[in-house]
Amino acid sequence: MLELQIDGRASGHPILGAITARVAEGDRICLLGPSGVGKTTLLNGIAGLDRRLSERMIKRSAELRVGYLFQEHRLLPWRSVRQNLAMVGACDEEIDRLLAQVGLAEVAEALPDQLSLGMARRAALARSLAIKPDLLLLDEPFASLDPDRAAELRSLITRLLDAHPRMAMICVTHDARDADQLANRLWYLDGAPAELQWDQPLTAAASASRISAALRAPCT
Amino acid sequence: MKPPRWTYWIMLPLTVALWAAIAATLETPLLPTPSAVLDSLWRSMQSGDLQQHLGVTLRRVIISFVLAMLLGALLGVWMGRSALANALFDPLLVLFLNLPALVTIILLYVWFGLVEAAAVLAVVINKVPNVAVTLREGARSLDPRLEQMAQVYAFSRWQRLADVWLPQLFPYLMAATRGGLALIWKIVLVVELLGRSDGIGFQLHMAFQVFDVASILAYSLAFIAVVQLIELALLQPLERRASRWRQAGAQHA
Repeated sequence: MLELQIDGRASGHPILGAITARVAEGDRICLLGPSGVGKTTLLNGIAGLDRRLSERMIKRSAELRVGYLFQEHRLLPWRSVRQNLAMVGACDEEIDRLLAQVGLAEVAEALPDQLSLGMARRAALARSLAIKPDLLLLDEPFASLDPDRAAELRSLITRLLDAHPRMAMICVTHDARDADQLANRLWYLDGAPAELQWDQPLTAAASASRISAALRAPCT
Repeated sequence: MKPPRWTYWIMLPLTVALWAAIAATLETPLLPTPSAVLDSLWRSMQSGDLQQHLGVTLRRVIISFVLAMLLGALLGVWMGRSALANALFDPLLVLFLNLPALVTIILLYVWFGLVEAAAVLAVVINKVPNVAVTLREGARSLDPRLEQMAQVYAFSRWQRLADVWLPQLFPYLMAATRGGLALIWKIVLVVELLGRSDGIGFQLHMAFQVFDVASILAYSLAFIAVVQLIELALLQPLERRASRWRQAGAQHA
C-alpha cells in the first residue's frame, strides 16, 4: 500500500537520506531511533505533509486513507470531542462507538482542553480511526504518560489493531519495549542524513530491545 | 481580581458634575449646562431631526463598516498567508495607512463630485488598511500544527475557513471591529460636513455656523450612545459566546 523510495540527498532534503521500504497490509511497524534523528519528519513525509518529498518518492496506493495521531492531540480546542470527530466525516453512531472503544463515552460533549493529556490523546486516536484508515501513523503515542496510562494505551492500541487486521501501523517511539508489545516489524532510523539501518520482521528470537541495543552500541 | 461593578460608575458622573459646575459658574452660551444639552436633544428628537440624521449617518457607518471589514479582512488574511502578496501590497498599505483621511475625502469629492458613493468610498479607503494590518497579524499567527491536521484529515475549504481559521482570527476581527466602529463614525462625520446635505456631520456644520454648542454636544452624545448600545447589545455577547472555549483549559487545571 505504501512504497518509500526517498532519496533525500538528490532532492536536497536537510534531514532524510536514502530510505527504501515497502509497507503492506497488516504490517505493524515500530520506528525506533535516537531523538532528533528525523522520525517525525519521516512520518510527516509519509502523511504527505512534507512538500520537499515528491509523490515519486512516497508512492501511496490509490485512495489510501491515512490516520495520523500527532504527538499533541491537535483537536480543535473550540469544538467538543464529538464535533471534532464529526468534522472528519464520522456519523453519530460511529462517534459513539469509537468513543466507547477508547473509553471516552462520558466526555463526548467536553472540550479537548477539559480533558487530561491521556484522555485527549485517546480522543485524537478515536479521530484517526474515524476515517477508517488503511494506514495508522502514531507519533510517540506514549510520551508524557505515566506508566499505568501508557500501559493502558498500549493494550488499547493492540486491541484496536487486532480488531482491524488489514490496517497497517507505523508507530514512532523511543522505547524498544513498546515495539516488542505492538509491532511485528522494526525500523531503526539513524545517521545524518537519516537512513533506515534496520528493516526486519520481529520474531521471538530477535526482540526489538535486543536489536536496538545492538544497533545503538557502536555510538556509545 | 475583578473590581466591583460600581467602579464603572464613578468617572463618568464625576465628569458630568464637573461640567455642570463649570457651566453654572461661567454662565455663557459657549458652554451650556448638561440640562441645556438634554433640552436641545429632546427638542430635536421631537421635531424628528435627530432620528432622521442619526439614521442617515448610521446607514453610512454600517455600509462603510461592512465593506471595509470585508475587503480589509480578505486583503489582510491573504497578505498574512502569502509572502508574495505581502511583498506586493505592503508598500501600498504603508502609503494608505499614512494618507490623511481628509486628503482622501477631498480628492474623492473633487474627482467624483459630492455624491454618496464618493462619501462611502472615502471612508472605506481610510479604514481598509487598518483592518488589513490587524488581520495580517492574525493570519500570521494561525497555528501551523492545526494546518497540518486539517491537511491530513482532508478538511474542505469551508471547514478550514469556518472551523479552523475563524476561531483563531476572531480576536483580531473583534479588535478591528472595535477600532473600526469608533474610527469610521468619526470619518463619516467629516465626510458629511464637507459634502453631504444630511447626517449628523451636516447638522454639526449648521450648528457650528451659529455657535450652537448645545446642539453640537447633543448630537455627539446621541451617536456615542448608539455606538455604546452596539457594543453592549451586539459585540460583548458575541465575544463572550465565541471565547467560552478559552476558559475550558483554565478550569480544568
